[in-house]
Amino acid sequence: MTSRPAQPLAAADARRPENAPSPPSAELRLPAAFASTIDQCWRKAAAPADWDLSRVQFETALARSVAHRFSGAATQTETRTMRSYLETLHHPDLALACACSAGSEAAWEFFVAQFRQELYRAARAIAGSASGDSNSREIADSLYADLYGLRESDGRRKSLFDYFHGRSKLATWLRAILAQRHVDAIRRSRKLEPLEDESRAELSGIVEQAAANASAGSCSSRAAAGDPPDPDRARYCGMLQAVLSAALAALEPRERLRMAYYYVDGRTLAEIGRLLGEHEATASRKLERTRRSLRECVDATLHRDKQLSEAQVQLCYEYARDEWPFDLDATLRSAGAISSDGGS
Amino acid sequence: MASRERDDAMAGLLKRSLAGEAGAADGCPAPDALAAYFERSLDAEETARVELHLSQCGRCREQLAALGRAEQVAATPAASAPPKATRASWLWDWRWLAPVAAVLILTAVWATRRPELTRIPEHSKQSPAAVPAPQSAQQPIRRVDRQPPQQDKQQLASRVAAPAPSAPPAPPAPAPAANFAAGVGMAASADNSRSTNSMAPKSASPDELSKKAARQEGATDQAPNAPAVTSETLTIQTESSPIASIAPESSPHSNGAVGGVAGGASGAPSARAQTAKEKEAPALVSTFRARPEIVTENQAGELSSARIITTSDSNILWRIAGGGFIERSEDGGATWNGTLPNPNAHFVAGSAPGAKICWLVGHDGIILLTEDASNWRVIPPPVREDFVAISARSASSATVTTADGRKFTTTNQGESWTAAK
Repeated sequence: MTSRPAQPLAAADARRPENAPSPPSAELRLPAAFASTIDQCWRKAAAPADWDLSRVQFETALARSVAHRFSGAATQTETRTMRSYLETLHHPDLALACACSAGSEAAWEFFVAQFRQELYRAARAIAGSASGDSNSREIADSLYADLYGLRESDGRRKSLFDYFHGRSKLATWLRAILAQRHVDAIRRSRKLEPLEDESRAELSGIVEQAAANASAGSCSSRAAAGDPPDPDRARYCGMLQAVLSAALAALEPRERLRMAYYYVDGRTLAEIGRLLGEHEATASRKLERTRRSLRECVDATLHRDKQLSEAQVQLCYEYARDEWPFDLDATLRSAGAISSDGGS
Repeated sequence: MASRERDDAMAGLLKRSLAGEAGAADGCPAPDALAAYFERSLDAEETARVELHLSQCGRCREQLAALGRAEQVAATPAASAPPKATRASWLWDWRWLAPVAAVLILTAVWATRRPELTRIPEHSKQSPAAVPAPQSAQQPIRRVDRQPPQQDKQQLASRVAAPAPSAPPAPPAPAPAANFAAGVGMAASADNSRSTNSMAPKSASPDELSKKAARQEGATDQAPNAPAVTSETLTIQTESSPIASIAPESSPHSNGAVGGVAGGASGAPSARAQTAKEKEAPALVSTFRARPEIVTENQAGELSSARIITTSDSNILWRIAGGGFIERSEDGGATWNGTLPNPNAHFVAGSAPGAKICWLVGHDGIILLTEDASNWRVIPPPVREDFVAISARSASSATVTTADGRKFTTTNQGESWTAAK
């Protein structure tokens, strides 16, 4: 999912209609206050002469990056923040992308020489060994076609390079696109519905029942036919679920993400550590701390706000264990199978 | 119900709660934001926003995991092998080529302007120009100030090149002194590093060579049939051994020894040579190591401005190889594995407080850190200027030095810096 280049900076071009799209070839300009920063960025880019990349073209790429990052709020963003943002960009990669987008054959040859094999390796790693070399090559070649710009719009060849804004290394950005395309393809081809869609539907039903004190049916669709309905069971399940959801919402995003990696995706602690840029032991410790704090918060809320006794709180957990048993080994095995198949 | 049992009971509920949150399908970050998040280059606000979305969106988490797999493959040695252009281009790296050429020219000029060195003592002519092969790269190598016979030349080239099969062929050296320099150059080029200036023979400056030549009592001759009788001790550093000593040859007037490539010591002249080597070696080693490119501190965490970065474990070494490549050895430098944390970076110094922890600094405010010897991340610099040195005490604590001498210290992996007084 890529974003269309944002509107030009208001200070740069006030005459452009508000909702008019900005074609990548338009010369976006940064305010004069950024002149020295632009010079510095241009020097760092060090684009070879045979790429035929002009300073104006590069400045346009910088302006587009700023517009994309600050999403039209450029006039409200401090100049210092924007200047700092420009200084942190990957200028040589941005220059290469800009030159390739502009149609420089020399730049394209350089790009192919530097990145082609690496992309094939990345595609193989992403697609996994099960999918075979041909599948990974197809993914990589498809990306190459889009990067070169086989599609035309408004009489201009549209290259995927237009959407590279220099916020990361070019190689990482390319791998991210490969990953996105691969995951989307896999999801489309999956026969089973993803767990999240399934549980979302179930969860909505659970919460509605609990809120309305409905007694018909049970918490789980797996309730055996003929079992007597247990209104307390449904009420306790729903109550625990609602309290836990509120506690989860109060977590820091990183804590929630760590929990999602562990409980939903079934990632190992080592994988979680790599994804979050922390040591495995750190991931384990923080996971345990989050889990403990969640439980304490849930217990306190059930006692204080829901006026449940200790025995009733215990019932909540027992019903939850029966309704939603969690098999960590199975989750890990499933996650391992997904990883080895490259996300399939 | 015990605490642990409640955790287990909640586990299934957690899975459903986290997986079932609505509203995650919209607002997926674009690849550039996801890539920037992966590289830890988003600011705190953006990072929190992306992580909140990731915690709710399985699709994006899958993408991130796939990206991680690709990055892991890219970080492996096979994947990080330099392109052929780089492998060939280091041969023409002016950083070692120019000094070697200068040494060759100077020694050639010196040799032609020293007529006394062309005299060949009678006894030296009688001795065979034996050139026993060195057993290994660690065997002492004797320099000869003469033009060795063709066979000797070939033997010399093959033996000196033996320790480093991938070393480039030595340039032809017509002058005897140039032969010596070529031999040293060949041995030194056994180092496969792209930053060959750390091992290049240019460290033996022309002045040092002249001084060594002045101590010689032998003679040399450019003529093929004029064996020289001088030799001296030199110390060079190769890929596979810290030091390879060149055994000195005794004075030709005293023992009639003929220089050559010697694999070992035998007989009186060689014994005297060994003794002379032992006496000379420490001084030459210290002279050789005086060059800033290879001065290193052998204690972990100490300031290191060299391209070789040592750790507390003598087997673990890091090396700044140029072109943004970083290499690591786990066997004391015998073999190296390379990674490419940043192809555009120009690293100049590093510090490794642990076996798997390494900090790197360079131009334009680049600071990188790895805690597992494979994954590198960018550390926000205190200033966007060229750094020339770093001293790290741990994975969290380090002090960097800018080109103008300012020092900044962090104790939280660059989240904040304080200027050192």
